[in-house]
Amino acid sequence: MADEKPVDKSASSSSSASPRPTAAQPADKRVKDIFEKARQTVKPIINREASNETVTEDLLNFRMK
Amino acid sequence: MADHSFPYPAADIVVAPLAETFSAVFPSSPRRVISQQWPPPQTEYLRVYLKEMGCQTVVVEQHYVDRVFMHDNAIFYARNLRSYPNFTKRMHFFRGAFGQQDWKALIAKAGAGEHGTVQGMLQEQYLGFSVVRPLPDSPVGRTLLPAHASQAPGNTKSQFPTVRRHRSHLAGFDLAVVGVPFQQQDQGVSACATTALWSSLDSVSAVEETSGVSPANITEAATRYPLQEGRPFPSEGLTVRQLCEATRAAGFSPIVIRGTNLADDRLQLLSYLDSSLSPVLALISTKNATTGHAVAAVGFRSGDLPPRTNLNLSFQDWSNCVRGVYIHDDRLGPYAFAELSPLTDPASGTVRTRVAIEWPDKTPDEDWFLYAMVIPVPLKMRLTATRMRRIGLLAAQTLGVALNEPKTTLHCRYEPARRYTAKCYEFGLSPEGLYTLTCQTALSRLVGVAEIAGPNGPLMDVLLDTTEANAEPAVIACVRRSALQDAGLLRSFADYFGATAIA
Repeated sequence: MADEKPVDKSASSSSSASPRPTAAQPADKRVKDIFEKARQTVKPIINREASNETVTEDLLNFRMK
Repeated sequence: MADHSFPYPAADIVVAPLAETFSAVFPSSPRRVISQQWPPPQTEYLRVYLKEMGCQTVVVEQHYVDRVFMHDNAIFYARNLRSYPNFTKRMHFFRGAFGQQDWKALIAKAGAGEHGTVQGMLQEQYLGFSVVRPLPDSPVGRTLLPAHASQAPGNTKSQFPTVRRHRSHLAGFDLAVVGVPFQQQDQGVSACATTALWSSLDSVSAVEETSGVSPANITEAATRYPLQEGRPFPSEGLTVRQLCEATRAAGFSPIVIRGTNLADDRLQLLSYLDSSLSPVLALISTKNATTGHAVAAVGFRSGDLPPRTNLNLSFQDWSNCVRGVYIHDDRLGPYAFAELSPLTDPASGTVRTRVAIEWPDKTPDEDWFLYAMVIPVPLKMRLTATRMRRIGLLAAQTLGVALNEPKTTLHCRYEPARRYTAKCYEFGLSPEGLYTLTCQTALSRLVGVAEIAGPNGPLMDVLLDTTEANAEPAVIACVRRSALQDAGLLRSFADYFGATAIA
């Protein structure tokens, strides 16, 4: 996704998992911003997976012996 | 004076070693003129499977009334010109070696005040049972054996969430076996799809705590409405539509998902299997696109998570660790392993999910493509795994970015509320959080759990009400798990979803 930050693979947290807000940005606002970006990132996946649940005539008529 | 003109069948219990029993119970080839092999692969598979489990002794009940065969017999075989018996034989399998005299001694010992001791000893050795139907070409009836994952490679783990406890009674001893029932199709009242659905319904019946149905019930229900073939019996196989109809008639709801690619198919399979729900897999031959087959998925084998490939995402699906599924394949037997891998379909040029089935000794069987899945679920479970994932995907992506943790994983599943609330005592919640979750939070009977985990364990569960059709108003709570240190982050998630934060 164009608006997605590159993944820093070296940044794996080892013992505690906690967010890192900057001083100027409250944690809550930062998380909301991340949510908004995440929505755009996962939207194509959600749409693709939803289409897999579309039931068609050829699917229903598939015969198993 | 008693009338002996209609005698009861002779009943006895015969004890013999495994190999001898199979040649005695399945003695010779019935008359056949075309291409049927004898012994059928199902009896050979059963012998191999039992050998792998260390079975040494078989105790055969010579007269056993099996409720499933009795029902099928009443609907179909009782009207044949040939008089098929309405009773069966039943083989009970034991690990230890003992003979007929030992068996008699055990009966005497139980009668001398040691019934409990003998029952405990038998249970310790007990592997399960298999009904032998009086049908010449399809003798393997209701079979209950424990799941046994043989020769699995290192770093893999086999899980069978669909199994449940079944009881059997032998000479006054109450025995138990944990498994999923299997039987061979007979082509009279059942085809592969019928027996696959029959196995699958056993698991969902356990989730709903209801009783199961017989294969003849399934075929009757599936073919109640106009048929292309014109008649329900003998069974010419079932379509996906008929599987759905039979599922509804049994009191459950069918979820139908088209097979697409390995990643998507794997996550759907894992979501339902790990929820004790057994998907019926509709398979299509890799060699002949007109041949369809059905099996019941009853377990899965997982390994280490591979490296993340989609760097646009800050998480990966936990289902990526799934290597294959265990299936009840009525052409072979119970718990056959089937490796899942990508393979190009020469007919369409698309990459599909290959299902490569193997025998317990790893001998390869046939290759199939996954065409579709039909999952019988409880009626009130309206939120499909796909819909649950709308929330799960969003939460996992957000948490992965917020924590800057590339090893974040997502796993969506269903769990009975009673089981989830029992497990939550181990989450490390505060006393207030624990009280809120166990005493003050209304959960649906099956709760949707979008579990987000990191390298040190689970971080957060997003709980969903599965009686809702839409995921967005279904979010009930965000529950902190032990690896998440910051309760503030949990509150931000709960606020965003309009849910309760439980820390």
